[in-house]
Amino acid sequence: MSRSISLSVEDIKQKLLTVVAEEQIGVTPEAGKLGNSGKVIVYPENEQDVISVVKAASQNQLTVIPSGGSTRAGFGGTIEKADIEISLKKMRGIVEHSAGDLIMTVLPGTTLADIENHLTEKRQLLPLDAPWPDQSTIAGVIAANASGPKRVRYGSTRDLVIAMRVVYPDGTVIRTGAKVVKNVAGYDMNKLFIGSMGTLGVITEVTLKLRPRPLFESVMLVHSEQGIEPLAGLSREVLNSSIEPVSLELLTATLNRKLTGTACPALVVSFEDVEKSVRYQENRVAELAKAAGLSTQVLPSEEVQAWWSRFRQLPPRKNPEAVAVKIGVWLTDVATTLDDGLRLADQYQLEVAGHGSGGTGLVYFYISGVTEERVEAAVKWLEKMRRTVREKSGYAVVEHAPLSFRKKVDVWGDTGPSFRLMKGIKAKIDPQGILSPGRFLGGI
Amino acid sequence: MKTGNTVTGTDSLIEGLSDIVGSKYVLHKYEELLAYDCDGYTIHKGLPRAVVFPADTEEVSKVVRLLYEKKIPFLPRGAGTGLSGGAIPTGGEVVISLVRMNKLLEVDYPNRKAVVQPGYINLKLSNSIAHKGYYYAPDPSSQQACTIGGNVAENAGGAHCLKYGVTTNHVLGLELVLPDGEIVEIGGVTDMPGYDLLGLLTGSEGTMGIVTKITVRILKLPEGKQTVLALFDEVEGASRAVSDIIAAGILPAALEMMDRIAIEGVEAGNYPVGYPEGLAAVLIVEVDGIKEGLDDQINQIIEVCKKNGVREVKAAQTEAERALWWANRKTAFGAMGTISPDYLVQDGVIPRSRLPEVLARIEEISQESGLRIANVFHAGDGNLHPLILFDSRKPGETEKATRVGSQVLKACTDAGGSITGEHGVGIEKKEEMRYLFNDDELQAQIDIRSVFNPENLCNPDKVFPLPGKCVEVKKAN
Repeated sequence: MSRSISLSVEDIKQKLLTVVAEEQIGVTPEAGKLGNSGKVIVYPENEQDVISVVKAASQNQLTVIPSGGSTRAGFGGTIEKADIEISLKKMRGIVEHSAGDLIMTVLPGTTLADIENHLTEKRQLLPLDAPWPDQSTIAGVIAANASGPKRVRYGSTRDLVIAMRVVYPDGTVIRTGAKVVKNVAGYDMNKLFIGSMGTLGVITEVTLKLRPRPLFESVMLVHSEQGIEPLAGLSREVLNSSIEPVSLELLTATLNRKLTGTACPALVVSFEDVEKSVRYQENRVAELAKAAGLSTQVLPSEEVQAWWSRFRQLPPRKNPEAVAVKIGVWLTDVATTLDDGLRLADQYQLEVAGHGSGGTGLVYFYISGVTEERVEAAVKWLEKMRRTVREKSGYAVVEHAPLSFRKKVDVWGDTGPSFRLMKGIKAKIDPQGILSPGRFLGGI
Repeated sequence: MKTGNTVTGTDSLIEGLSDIVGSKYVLHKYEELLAYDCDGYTIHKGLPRAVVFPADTEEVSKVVRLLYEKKIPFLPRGAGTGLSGGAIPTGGEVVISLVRMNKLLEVDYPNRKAVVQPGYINLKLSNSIAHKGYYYAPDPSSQQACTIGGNVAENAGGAHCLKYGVTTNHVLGLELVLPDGEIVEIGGVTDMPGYDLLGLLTGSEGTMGIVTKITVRILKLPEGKQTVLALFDEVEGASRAVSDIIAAGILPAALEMMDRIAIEGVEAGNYPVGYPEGLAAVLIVEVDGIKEGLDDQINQIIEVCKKNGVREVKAAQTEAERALWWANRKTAFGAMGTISPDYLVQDGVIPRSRLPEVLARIEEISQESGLRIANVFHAGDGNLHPLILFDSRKPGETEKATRVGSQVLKACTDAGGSITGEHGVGIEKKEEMRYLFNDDELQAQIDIRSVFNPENLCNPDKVFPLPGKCVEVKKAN
């Protein structure tokens, strides 16, 4: 997996000019503080362009980073610039929407907002509430395995992607899955690329499973003056009842203050169904909350969209002085994990806001004001958090951090017992190691 | 052949296996092995050189290590209900039966998970947690017999996966014995960092290793459940009703259909509903969720059926009535035995919107071949189960049935579908993989297998068409 020579920008450009037009190539001026760009950026217009560029890179042992909306430029990797950044921004649009089959096929650079706008008219839904819908492209969401609070009810990319076209590092095109909602022919190769951070192939087309658009939705906020534990208790009770929440998101006091102005922890319970059923469930949660001495508030329905839209803009995207950490634990450890995060934030004098799902066990922390001098404190916070969650069979992954931070700490953490297999997969598919080098777990 | 030992060198193998699991748990005599020469797919048969019954993960690992050292191929087996031949030996494999590893190890309600051994039976899980109001969602028709280990291997589905997904959507973690005997843990809490090996392993048909422990997600039983039965005089009307229900924004928990010949079969089976004469199609539509919302959905479904020329449509009035409709449907495959000496079940998937044309094409194939085809299927997700009726005693008819099966799958892939929705490829559909994948794509999958199973000792000759061509094409590029 070693590369022999480092080519100059001009040399790389010359190699690419043999396969794509000059106007499709740009030069990245400055190395951003997040890294993960390319010395040369190329904008393929179709799959054939991708194949040509990847082949040229492979033949010349040039490194390649695929990119979409660049909302995850601070996620993984310790290089400022690869030789080539393949931006999929121009491969954007809906290839086919088969409403009767509840599936749609889109190009990789299609944003979540593009998809949502198209489907709203057709009364359907791609239930994927990942952050930054206006910027996040579908291929990027898949590669980073991004998800949102509604995952409790609707699942994540691994439950929604049914077929893809992927260009392998040698230029071979692989179709994975099939354009039907149920399929077990051969291995489920879709799974290989979900969350693989662009280390195995360049996604050129995606087919997704859809749902009918729910007729009514609501967001309910439960506040607690007695810390987060009563809210965690309520979340457990809701889970253990026949209520069907779409999200069960616990907010730290710091985050709740940001979102609602109230400086105490909160639980966000949301519903999507016919109005009758939603109202009935709101009442049941209100009763459970009352019994626990908690107050509830249902957002006016005209504010629901705006609420989610703000929520989806919480994670840092371009900020070079922010760090975002994703933690996975079992459901019953979510509240204590949030508490631990805040306690350690006090200890290291960091500004930390967090939220975590009582239904999926995913916890997110956003640390702000991580200037050069504060990087050390943030690293310490992470190391302590890792130790804490490891005891709970969990993990902590840094999803956003400046390059300087990522050079100091392994953003992925432990490789785990099956790492040999993962390395084997990478070596099989990308023996030269040209795709997103070092951006993934264990330096894959 | 019909003596105690069948293969040269077997003596030392049997000894080695007996040392690990105890001689009581090793079968090697011809007459004992006969019971393991096929699974639910009975057209192919092959004798294993031995069958071994390990008691725990350690024993599985030791058995596999021994076989790996001796370079003897092996395959895992659960209840043997698989319908594509995944557990059939093709070259004297040692069968590693997991039926002794049949325990429910742990239920953790607050974290909504359960840990089972691979030989634990699917339905037992739902039954064991029902008193707390929980269940395990994947419900293959064979759920009274099939094991969760087998479900993982096949990525099994069921009638209710339209809304709740298939096995892969419910597996959280696996303990796996790799084909060299190493034990690894995969998965755990949500989104464990690294490639999604869990997703790759689920549905890999026992070709990547042997699963020895499974953590699954358990769900809270829905508050309410209502079921509608609709009887149609025309298949087209029933097909249109299926599309219209989805178009109306309803996502049923199940949406099942049976055609004329299938109805004839189930009515002759153990759970006749007493369907009136001359029906062309029966639809079973089930919705579940919060009770408050269900009545409206049921009324909408009934309206849609009426608009599409239904003869009779009604909602189940009692749990007993609902249970009978389902028992009748879920035993459909077996019931075909009452109207035909043999049947071959296929498992193609099509985009739901292409249902009428594909059913017409299947009818044509039936006419051309002279073999009757009954259709029982998960209409909601386009997963067809054409049952090809034949008589294996008639010379050439088995081959003809196999050929017809292949034609049906071609019709499915021609309509943009797949060759299997939940039964797996196994031995049966290896060649049909070519309807779906080109040589590069097959090679890409074989490459993944080689990471887990480099010597191809673990369930060899399954899933993929015989190589040869693939490799050459790859080199030519």
